[in-house]
Amino acid sequence: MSRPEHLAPPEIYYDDQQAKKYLTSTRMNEIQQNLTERALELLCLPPNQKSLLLDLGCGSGLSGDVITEEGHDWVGFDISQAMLNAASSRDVEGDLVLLDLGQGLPLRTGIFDGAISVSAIQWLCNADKTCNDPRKRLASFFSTLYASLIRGSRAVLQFYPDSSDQVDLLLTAAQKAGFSGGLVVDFPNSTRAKKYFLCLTAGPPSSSLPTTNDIRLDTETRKRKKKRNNGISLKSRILAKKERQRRQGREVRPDSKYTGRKRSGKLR
Amino acid sequence: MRLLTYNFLQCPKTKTFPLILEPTLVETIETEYNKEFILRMIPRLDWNLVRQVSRQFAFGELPQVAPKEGTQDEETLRLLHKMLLETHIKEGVLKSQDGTCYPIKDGIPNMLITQLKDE
Repeated sequence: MSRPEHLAPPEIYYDDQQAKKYLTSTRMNEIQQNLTERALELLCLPPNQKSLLLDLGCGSGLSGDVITEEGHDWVGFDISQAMLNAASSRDVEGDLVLLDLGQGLPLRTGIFDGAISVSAIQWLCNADKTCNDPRKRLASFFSTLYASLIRGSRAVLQFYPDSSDQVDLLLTAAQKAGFSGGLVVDFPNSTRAKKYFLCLTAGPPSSSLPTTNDIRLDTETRKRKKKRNNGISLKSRILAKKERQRRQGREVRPDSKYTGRKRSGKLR
Repeated sequence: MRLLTYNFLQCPKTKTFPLILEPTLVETIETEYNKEFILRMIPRLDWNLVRQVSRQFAFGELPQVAPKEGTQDEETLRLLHKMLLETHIKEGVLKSQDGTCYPIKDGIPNMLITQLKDE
């Protein structure tokens, strides 16, 4: 399987066509959603409190939607204009900024309660232009990220490493910037479902930090937790969103008794 | 981009703060008022910039010092909510002190630093 990182730089790879894929493919949506939910779980945010999060490489805002659903506010960064346009057309709740993570985050210090990233930081390991040095880019990324977080808060960055060297490269860069923490691997026995999460804490390590032993194989408990978290039904969420879009003067399909229902088995 | 985010941004090149905001299209989108969230944001805001923005967008004069933790000044909090979370800059420019312009298009500020080849 070819890796997108090897094909082109992200701002070129994620063009209108790719952005459209992210808007229409339910499989992609589901993967992104699951990864974001897991990342949020690893963030260990205080319960029942609206937090302000960073979404690094937010793309079309699929991960942002999950953050909104969990009741948090967010600011998303991405390098691809096409993906951000897609996010903006989907009317996401968070703010979007076009920038290159490797150039560092243009943020003041001590602002965010946490940061997540879904399948983005492996792009930083590429030297796709002559002026790009991955080490330097990673250093400026992690140091500015560290500064923008509130002391003791976390960053959970999911990524697809190319090799074990790349994992080491990222871990060292994060540690050099002052982060403590390590790698969490989900589904370590499966090559396809294996997922890597870089779990970092800005500041001294805390005892409750997840370690590599914190491996979960059962999706059952996660599903149960999800139900508890979403007190609001899907239907009311959809109705609220449609109402909001109507207020903004957009063209919205009329509500019917089918709004927010699942498709019947035949069509799925 | 909401004015809350504007308060957090600095120039990616020179690391100077604040950036000068010159909006050409502003939109208001209502959101749910969350008092706790606003209260938690206040210490993170640059109050001087908040006051300046309040004057720029005709929200009126704000007190010299930021409201303290646990304030019950509902009026100011509501005003902050309206200003920081409901005012969206759709089009405009962010200007750095060294003259670099970062355009805002469709609500998305472009903060990319264009690098010269063979530097």
